Amino acid sequence: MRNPLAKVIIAPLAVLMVCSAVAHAQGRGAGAPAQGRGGGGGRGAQPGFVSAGIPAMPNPPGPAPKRELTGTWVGAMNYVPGPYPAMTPAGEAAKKLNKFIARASDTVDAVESTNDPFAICDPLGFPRVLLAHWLSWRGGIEFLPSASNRMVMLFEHQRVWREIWMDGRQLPAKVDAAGFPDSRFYGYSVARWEGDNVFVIDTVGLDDRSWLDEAGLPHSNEAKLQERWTRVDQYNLGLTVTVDDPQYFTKPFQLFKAAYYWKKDQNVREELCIASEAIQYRDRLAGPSGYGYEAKP
Amino acid sequence: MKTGLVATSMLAVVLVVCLPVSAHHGGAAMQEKETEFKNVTVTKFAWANPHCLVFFDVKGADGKVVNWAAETAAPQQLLLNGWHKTILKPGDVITISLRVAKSGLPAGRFSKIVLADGTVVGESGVSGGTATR
Repeated sequence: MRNPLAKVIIAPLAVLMVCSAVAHAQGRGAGAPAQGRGGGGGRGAQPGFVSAGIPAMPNPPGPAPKRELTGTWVGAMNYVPGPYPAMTPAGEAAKKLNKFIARASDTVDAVESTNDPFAICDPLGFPRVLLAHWLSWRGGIEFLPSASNRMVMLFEHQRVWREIWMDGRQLPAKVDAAGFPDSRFYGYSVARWEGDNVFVIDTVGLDDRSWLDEAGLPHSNEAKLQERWTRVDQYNLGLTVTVDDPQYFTKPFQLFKAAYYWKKDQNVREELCIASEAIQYRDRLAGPSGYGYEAKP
Repeated sequence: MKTGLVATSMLAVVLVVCLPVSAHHGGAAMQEKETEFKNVTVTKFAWANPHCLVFFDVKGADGKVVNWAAETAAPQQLLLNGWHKTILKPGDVITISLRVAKSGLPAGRFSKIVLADGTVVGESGVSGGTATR
């Protein structure tokens, strides 16, 4: 990592794409919600690994350092989605439009096209990017030379980042309206510490083209999300994400909980979804096989 | 046309194997049985998201060469199992097993590759062979 970033708390996020998924979408022949795509839940770690593809540190973890998330983390592991509340009519209508790519644990009766943003390298957006790849938090308080009042999360997938303000500013009251900012794939975030080990992030202003999860759960641009990151010990983070989106869901709910582990080599890979490669895949594999990309009407 | 294409390609097949398979990422689009293409030539290996692709030429009984595409897992998963960006190169002669698309078009989901030196390249690992890959 470059020196300026060394002082910044950044968080690349990555996950091993194992053959499991959230499969709560209806109309695709899917069964009950399955394990999320994130990491080794249910697969059984081999010796020397805490989960599939995630090497264990050689020593047991020490206590959690106070108010510190610095470092490169791997997740999401032990992913548990939901439970999800009933959706509003608008939410159900939005959900029907999202056609995810069938996962290994899905039982699909027919081949269908997909409009999964991932299929064509559209931004995953927040919070879905939390499920994608290695997560890194880097120590420090500066991103720009004069910046000392924010945390930046860097994500390995697509090398995108979130800026999370800790200067007491307010989140936008609304987005996509006169006098208010535009919605964004990664939203607008502010954060605070609760005690010494829980970092709480509130996010609003999300572009409604992104999905809440891998299975196409939609959200409106009025959704409010909260992450609660718990530094469990030296090598372990816990995360819960809750959603409050009255436009699409009848009540607030926990979107998922998951765990992240200290990345042994602390290295952040370059993990890009490249448009030309996505086109190649669509034209030479997915399309000919019958599950190519088809944009929403 | 599609039937003829598949039939032509099948002439390069030595072995058809029926194996139990689980649904995967478009798995319903692929035949359940595996088809083996023996001694075909790699034209391109795309180390790419969302899935790596192995492109290879298959010459049919009619002499026409058809270029096929077989998908594997994504790079970040393959890396953990011994693959790397240049594990396959244009010009490599391989034997590849894959689940062919039900559409009859030259595409499928890879199961296993055996290189000319005997190296077995599977999604869960790379083994055997004499050359260093």
